Amino acid sequence: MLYPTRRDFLRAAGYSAAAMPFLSGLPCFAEQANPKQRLIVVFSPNGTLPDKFWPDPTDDLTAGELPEILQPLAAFRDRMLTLHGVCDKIGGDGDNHMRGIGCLLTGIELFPGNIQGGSHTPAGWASGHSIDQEIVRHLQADPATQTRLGSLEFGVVVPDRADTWTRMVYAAANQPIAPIDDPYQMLAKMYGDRQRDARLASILDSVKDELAQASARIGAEDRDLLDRHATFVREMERQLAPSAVGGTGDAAADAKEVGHAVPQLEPGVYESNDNIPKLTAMQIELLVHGLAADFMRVASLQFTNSVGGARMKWIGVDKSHHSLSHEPDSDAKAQADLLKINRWYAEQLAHLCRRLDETPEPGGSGSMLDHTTILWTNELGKGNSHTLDNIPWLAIGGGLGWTMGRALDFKSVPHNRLLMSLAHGFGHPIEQFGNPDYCGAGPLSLG
Amino acid sequence: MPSRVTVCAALLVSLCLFAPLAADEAVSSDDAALLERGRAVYAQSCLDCHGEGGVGVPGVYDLSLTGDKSVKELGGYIAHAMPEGSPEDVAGDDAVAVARFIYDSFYSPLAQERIRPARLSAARLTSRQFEYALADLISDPSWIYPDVDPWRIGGGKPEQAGIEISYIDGNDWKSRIVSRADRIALDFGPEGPKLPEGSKPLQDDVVRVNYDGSLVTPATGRYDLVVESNCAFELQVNTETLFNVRTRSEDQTRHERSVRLLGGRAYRLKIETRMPVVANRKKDEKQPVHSDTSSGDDERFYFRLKWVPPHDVERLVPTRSLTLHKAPPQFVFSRDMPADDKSTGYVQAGDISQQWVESAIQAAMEIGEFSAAQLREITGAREEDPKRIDKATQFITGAAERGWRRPLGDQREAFETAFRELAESDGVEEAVRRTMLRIVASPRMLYREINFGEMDDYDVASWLSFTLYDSLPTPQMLQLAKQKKLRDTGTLNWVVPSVLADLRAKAKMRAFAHSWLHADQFGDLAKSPERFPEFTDELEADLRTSLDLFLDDVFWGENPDFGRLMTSTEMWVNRPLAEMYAGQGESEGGFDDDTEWAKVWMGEGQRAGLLTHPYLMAGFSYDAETSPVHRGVFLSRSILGRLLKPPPIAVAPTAPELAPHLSQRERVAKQTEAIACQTCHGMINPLGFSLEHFDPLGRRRDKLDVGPIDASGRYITRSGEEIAFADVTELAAWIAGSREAREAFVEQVFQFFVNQPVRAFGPDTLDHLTDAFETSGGNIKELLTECVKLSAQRTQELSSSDKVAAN
Repeated sequence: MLYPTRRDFLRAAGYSAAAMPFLSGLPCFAEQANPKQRLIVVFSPNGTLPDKFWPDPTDDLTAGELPEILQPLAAFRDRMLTLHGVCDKIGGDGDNHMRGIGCLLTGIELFPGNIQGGSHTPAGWASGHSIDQEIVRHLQADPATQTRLGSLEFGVVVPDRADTWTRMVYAAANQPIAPIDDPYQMLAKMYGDRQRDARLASILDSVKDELAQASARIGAEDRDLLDRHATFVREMERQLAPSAVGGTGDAAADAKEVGHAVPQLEPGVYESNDNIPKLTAMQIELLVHGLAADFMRVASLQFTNSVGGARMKWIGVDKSHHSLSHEPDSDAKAQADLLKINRWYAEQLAHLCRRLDETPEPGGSGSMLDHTTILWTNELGKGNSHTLDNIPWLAIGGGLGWTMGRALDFKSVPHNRLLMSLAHGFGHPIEQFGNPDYCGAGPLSLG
Repeated sequence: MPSRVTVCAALLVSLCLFAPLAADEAVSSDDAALLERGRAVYAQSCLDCHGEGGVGVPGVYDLSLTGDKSVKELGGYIAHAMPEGSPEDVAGDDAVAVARFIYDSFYSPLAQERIRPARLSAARLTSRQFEYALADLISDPSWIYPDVDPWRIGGGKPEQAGIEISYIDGNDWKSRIVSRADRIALDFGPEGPKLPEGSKPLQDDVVRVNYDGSLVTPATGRYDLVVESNCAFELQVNTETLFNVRTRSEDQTRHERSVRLLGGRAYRLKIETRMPVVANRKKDEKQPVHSDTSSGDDERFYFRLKWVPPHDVERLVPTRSLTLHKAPPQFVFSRDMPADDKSTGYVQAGDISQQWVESAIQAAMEIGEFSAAQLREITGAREEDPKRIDKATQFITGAAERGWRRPLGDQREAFETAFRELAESDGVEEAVRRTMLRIVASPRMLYREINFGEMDDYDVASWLSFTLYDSLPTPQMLQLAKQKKLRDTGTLNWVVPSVLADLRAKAKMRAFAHSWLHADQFGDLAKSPERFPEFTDELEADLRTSLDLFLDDVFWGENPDFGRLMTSTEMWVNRPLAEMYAGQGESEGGFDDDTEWAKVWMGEGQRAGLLTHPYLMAGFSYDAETSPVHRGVFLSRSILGRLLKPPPIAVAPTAPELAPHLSQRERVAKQTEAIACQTCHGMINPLGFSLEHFDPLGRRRDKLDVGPIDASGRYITRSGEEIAFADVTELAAWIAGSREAREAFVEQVFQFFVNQPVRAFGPDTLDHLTDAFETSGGNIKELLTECVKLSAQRTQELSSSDKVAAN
């Protein structure tokens, strides 16, 4: 392809980044009438290091040096947007870690309940659904944007317990959706039918052989029973996809049948702290495949949980992330470790961006990243203060037609308005989301 | 759902008999001359319509002339009605002769046997056997089953009932106190739960109350589990976490989930709760537990586990359905297997359909996925265990040997190597999935051992286990097979009775009884809410339990006597049933609660065992009236073993309001008075009328609104003897001692358990078994033992004969 992405085309055509917003609203000649739009929410826990995360406000992020945490994302700075001053103002029951994750995408209070967090009133589940699921409902209601799975919720080493700290996505009030943190389970959910077909194909020969052997041993009067059985087995075999029965021998042709090849996962990567890097790579691979195959257009990727305690030994950090996040700013060692941790998350995000950027948009123009907005977020603004102000919101990609390459400061606006912007970006002009008290001035203007 | 009347009308249509009953002339004994004369008459007057050998003539008379009428009855009918239009052509001695000829040549069951000898047929597992075998494939839970009989009738250990309960003071795991609970029901105030005597008082403001044990399931089907609690908890049944309510919002106090389980088994039940002890809160923290309730001081905390088993209503899980035993993981297929053909009265499974093959493969897929997901639990190997593949290999080889019911022998090495290679290349889980699929989809799993050549000891083990309890042989049986002891009669003499204590054998016996009594087809016994407002869902469920208890008591109790089954004046009741039914009899004191059951005497001459059990009486009734026809068919078919043929015409029952001045007996008699009906209903009606003392709820009544009750009648036996009775108690007394009824029972028990026609085991088998049954005084347990032993021996003899084709 001469110009792999629309951005490259524009660059080659001599348009500067500054001119892009003007063009981005126009239909692209190479695309379908309704280009796909996608949203991925990426969550990492325990707040950020504000001075190492927030760039100074600017309309051109490509100029100057990025703060340390964002440096792994430098290749995407022109398609990046940071949103300072967007605050989680939802009050009510539950401690800040609980409300931090539970109200993050729902924009509404937690119900009173039985979970006692640190020094606050106990709480239960969120009292409303989350914005990603609102968008899923919108997309699924229209045959043109409907997908087989609607959305997929990926996790990486999410503790195996259902509580307010481990759930970010809600289908409705009191109905949290558990992220799937087992890549094999996710693969089965995405490609289960084909896996099962392949498994069946692998044993049908032995069934047929055994039926033939049994038929030879049985009395003539009873042979019909086994013959009929064999006929049904052959019928099942015939109905299997050709690729399942050894395929056409042509990987490309087999892949075409489902639109693309089924991702291959390394076997035996079990859920454990030390496997976080491998599991992350596997989940990202599945996520990209799922979007490419248009199984869903909305996804989330949740690293551990609110208060998550990953021990990132692979980057030389032995202590739990959550304990480190409580250390004072004056603790230089803790600060250095937290920087490593947050940079590691930024690297994972960068890997996701790269995978989307190097994948041409199926049936459209440009790369998949051009049609996808990734939103990186966190339950807190800063770990050791537990503030819900200035949640580190960072968007990358062209899914929602926002003007990128900027660092914005909204001073102090409720995050419900950002959630509304996500829906508006999908052409779903809701007038409020979550608690209406925080939706007053409408969606943030990000175009 | 079709209305009750429609359903009944449809049933009625299928109830008519083939031949008339009137016969007053004795039939002389057979001799060659008589037969010859009969043959000549048949050729002259019958052949055109009934064809050679009575097989029928297409378009003229399609049905074959077969049945179980006596020669006397046949002769009477022929004299009266045949040939059609000119019955006078064949009368007197001619009718007698032709009846004899027809009877001996092709009409009677014996003649049919001569013409078309039954044989042992190859069979797949029945759907029930397949599901139970899958449940026992992953691990062997059979060691539990002798202990957990809910009713402790002829087995079961009372000390194993209930569930383990443990209390942990806050996070102090060392404080754990373990005790036993009857129910899963906690309810306490600020002071926390009452601990077992002598325990140290709770210090923490949180107490964990955990339960661990197993649920014992009364029937196969969907179980709704209901938790009522205002606390945090997790609940796991078998391997599935049904509730994970670590977090709950305040309005979430009732939680419901449905799960499919097989009956007559134990499934692990684990519950972990976390409940507040408000009194232990520090003074300054003594705030409301929940932010918007007024005061924590008078608040109560509770946790209750209820369930709705199949055919039952929502209740606390009773003590009898809980056991301290911790059952291993068991697979349960998410769907129902296709229903097996039961048109001969029992499942033979000598056929196979595409739907059955596909369902079996689907189940094989599921058990593969289940085993892979449960691998750690099953093998004890963690993911990082270097011996994980070894342990998985051991498990999968064991599963193959269990499922295929014999050692892999010289195939073992190849089997293990294939598994290991797959595990190395595709991961252990995928290797388990594929190999389990291969094990279950194999004919070695799906087919019974019949007609595959000479039977060895392992085949005998399978024969015993599938016959006795519909599942795989126990390790003990396989061990005996390995020692080549199972073809020995002496071994069978002790093995078979010992296996009868297995809950699965009892579950199969119960399945037999429900099938035999048609209780498995009752569905919902809705009664007219205007006439019988007292007939509630609870009452219906209690009646079913009452019948099951009666059957269990007779089958497994100290006196497993066929006569008792028919004539007992006892009934099992709980408090609601005692109030409704036992008024006329003698009730043994009060009941503590509705889960307590007792056997009460109902009064002399008031009841006749299961024949008058209210559940059956209600089941064989319309919603507002009795149905003598249904009751009569039940007695004819199930109890007396008579064959009923399709009726010549369809008739809908007369609605009571069209003839309000008549009794139900009179209405039925009037409606079936046509000759075409009478010929059949001559047997059905009087049998059904004998139960008119029992109203549509099965309560005893002494008179009707329209007058006194006439429950008298007569019955002509298969040998032509006429039995007169005043009511069902007299009829029952005759049945209890009748060889005809006993033979019918023997045949039905045998065929249900063995899944083959009894005639296939030799023409003398039924007689032999009936003789033994008579000799034992109608001992049902001995009958079952004899059926299993005899069938095992005869199958071995038959499979080594020339019936089996050489390879």
